Amino acid sequence: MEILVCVKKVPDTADAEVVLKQDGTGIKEDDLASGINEWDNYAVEEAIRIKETHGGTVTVATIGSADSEDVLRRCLAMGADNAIMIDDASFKGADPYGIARGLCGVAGKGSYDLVLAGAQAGDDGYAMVGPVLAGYLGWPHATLVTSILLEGKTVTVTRELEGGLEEMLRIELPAVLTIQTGINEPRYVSIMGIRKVRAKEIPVLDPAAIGLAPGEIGANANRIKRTGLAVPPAGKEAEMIKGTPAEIARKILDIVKERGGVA
Amino acid sequence: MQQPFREIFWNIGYHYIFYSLAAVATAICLYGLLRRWQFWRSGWREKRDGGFDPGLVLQRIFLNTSIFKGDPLGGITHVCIMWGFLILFFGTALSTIDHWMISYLRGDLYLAYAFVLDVAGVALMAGVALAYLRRYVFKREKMVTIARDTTVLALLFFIALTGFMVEGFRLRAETLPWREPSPVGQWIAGVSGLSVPEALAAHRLWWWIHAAASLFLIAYFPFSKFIHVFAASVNLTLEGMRFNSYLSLEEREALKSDFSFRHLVMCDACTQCNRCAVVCPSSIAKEPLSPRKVIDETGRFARRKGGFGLMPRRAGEAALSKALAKANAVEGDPVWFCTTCGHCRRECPSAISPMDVIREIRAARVEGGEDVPVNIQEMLESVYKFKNPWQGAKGKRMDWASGLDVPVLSEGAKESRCFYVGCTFAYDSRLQEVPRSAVAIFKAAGLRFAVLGKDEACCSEFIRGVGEDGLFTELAAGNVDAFDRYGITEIVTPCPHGFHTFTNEYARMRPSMKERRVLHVSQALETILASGSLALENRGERTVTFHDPCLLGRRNGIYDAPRNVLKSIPGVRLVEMARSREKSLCCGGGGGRMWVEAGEGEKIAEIRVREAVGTGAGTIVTACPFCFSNMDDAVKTAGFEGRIVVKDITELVAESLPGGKAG
Repeated sequence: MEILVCVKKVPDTADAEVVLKQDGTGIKEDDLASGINEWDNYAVEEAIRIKETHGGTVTVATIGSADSEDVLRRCLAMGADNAIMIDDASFKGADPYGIARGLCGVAGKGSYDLVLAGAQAGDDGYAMVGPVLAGYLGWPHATLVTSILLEGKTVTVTRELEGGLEEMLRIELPAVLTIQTGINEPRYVSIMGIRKVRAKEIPVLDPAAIGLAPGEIGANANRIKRTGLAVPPAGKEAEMIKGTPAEIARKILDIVKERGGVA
Repeated sequence: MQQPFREIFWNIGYHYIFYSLAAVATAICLYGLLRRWQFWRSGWREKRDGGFDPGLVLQRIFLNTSIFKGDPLGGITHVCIMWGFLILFFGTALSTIDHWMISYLRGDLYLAYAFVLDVAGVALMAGVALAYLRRYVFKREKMVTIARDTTVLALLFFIALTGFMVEGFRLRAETLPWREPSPVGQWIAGVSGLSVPEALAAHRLWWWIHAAASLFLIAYFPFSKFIHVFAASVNLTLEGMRFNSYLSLEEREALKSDFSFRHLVMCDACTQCNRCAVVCPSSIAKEPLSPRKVIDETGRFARRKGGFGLMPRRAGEAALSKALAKANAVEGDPVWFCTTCGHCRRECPSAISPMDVIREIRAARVEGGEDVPVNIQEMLESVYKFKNPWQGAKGKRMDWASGLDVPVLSEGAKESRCFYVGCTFAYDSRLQEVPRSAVAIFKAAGLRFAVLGKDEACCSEFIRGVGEDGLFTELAAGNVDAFDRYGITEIVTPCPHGFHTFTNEYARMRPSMKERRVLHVSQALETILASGSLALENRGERTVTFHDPCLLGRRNGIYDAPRNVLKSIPGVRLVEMARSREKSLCCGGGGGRMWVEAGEGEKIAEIRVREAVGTGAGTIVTACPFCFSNMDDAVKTAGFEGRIVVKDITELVAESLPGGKAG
């Protein structure tokens, strides 16, 4: 089983105070911690588990610059066999179509049975790269995958739907699957583990090497244009509850009861 | 008159059989010792901190001072058995020298020799009898007894008893022109009521039985619990030589074994006396951890892995049990329950440190990546990303100082004294009062200082505690770089975890840390208050009790500084809990335990708070953010709200500043 996992380094915005850049094109990342996209981490763990059961190799790929190398090293330390980086200025400002084009080139260079990607990214949250990549490759795909069962040349997956539903699908390989968090419990990656793979070579490919013309990748392949980024105005629904902790707790309980939260 | 002496092999023939058996027994013994030595040598080498305390080592090895501690009867028992055995063993060896080489056991010297050996025999039997009483009659608290203990004691008793019988029968059959000063032998000779020919026959029979048992003991020695005679002596010597298990990342990467020489010696030195489990906070709270079991299972595991094939294999399958093998349920894995309070190490008569062995097992778990509790993983990831365990944004590290005028090194302040705040004090909204109080005191006392600000990163003491040595090294290096960059000569911190790791681990890692003076805030306060430059005011009569943070007290010996500070506050009366100073009970928050779910029963901190309430004090004073949080929670969960409050020592001082606390 040859598996390709697409990963991305993202700034951690979950608990941080996000500040917009002056021109409104993005956020200030200077004071933000960054690391592997959470969904991608589950995808890498899943790929390694499949390898541990069925054999084969796991390759991780990212589109980025030297700045993203730590994320690839982390994947190698987790147990991935190879890592590939595509570095080209044209990817700056690329939309999911432009990114998927680049990844399509990587996938096409190997003989992969399975491509895994995070269901979405923690920064832009498009959830598009996987499906678009499947489209470019002409492979079937499934999104929001919460379990994977391999049987020969087919794969049975479950998908997480709204309302607590699960959908079961059978898909012919090769296929693209986008992974939902919670599919597994990713292992911890120690600094010692990362140090042990620090000498492993990570080839940095330029698009021409994988047969991609400069005009068809990155921002040049964009089909979406971001026109703005804003912090929504604070709503008026919020109510500040005042009082001692006991009083606050009592009021919260009343509100929850009133709205049918508890019997 | 003929000089008193004893004819060796009197009444005994077939000497060659005895010597052949003795040679075989000695060979087996030496082979066993060699295998043990090879086993220890398979571990990696530790380094020394420098210095040597021969007095301590000799006292502990030869006078058993560490066994007497807290258990005088145990000490007497051990001294009797040990010295009885040693004197008889070397006494017998002396007679062999006398027989083969130089004859010197003649006259008064022989008489003294005979008397001393008789006394040693009595001591040995008395010691063994006491040991039996302690094990089977008195049943000392939490003592564990396994079949092997009964066997070795029985063997010792049998050898001493048959020795006396042989002596008695000889004295009965032999007509000596002098009276041997062997009271027990004489007594047996008298009460035996045997005729001379009967005594001769009995002597011959029991001589061979005694010889066989003694030779069996020699052969069995290195494969039995007796190995502790060597291993404990080696371990106490290593302790006296101040070996430590700190390794640089490069050294750690090159390791070919799981444990160090000393860790393996510790496993062999352990006699399962269980003193560690009696004091272990986790064991006290009935959690899955027993330090004794960890050492036992680590020993079994390492010996099997190291191919020490002649070890008893009974229960050996348990070698790969939870303490070491891949745990089925990570959350129930005993190694994650250790609070690194250091009480096991302090209590162990042989200076075994289960805590250190547990740390190594954790390091292996962390490197493997899969058997690490999720909360610990998240904490480690937070430290990696945010440089603090609380997922606090970098930009919020100075929030604690809002409204205060605090000089910040990363913003250009020039000071040689750094006030290292620590993550929990910086990010926890309740605990932010502590650095604020410290700042108020420093300002009132005119003590110059500055903080690192955005350059401050987690001290990572508990990161090393949970075995993430790589992350520890990265953050520690960053902190030392910052201290170096700003020309810091003195560090004052309210956090004992920072204090401990700066003075110990950082100093081993980087020479510049050895030049730096590191103080816990209680030491700085002690100096300030002793100088008289600060007149504290009486804010009412209060009774307080002090909870010793493990990393300040037991691990670093600072007991008096905080107590002196409390005694200098007008109106404050200090009462002690039963478990205080070196016997202090951990709050349950060290060694990463802040991020491990506690067991089902009463939490360690709840036990501690109950103890504090029992003193009648209205305030538990502590000097550590983890102790504070744990006990503050426990006051609520154990239902003591309104009866006792938790305060940090700096808060108590700041409250008594003239004019109240000022920013």
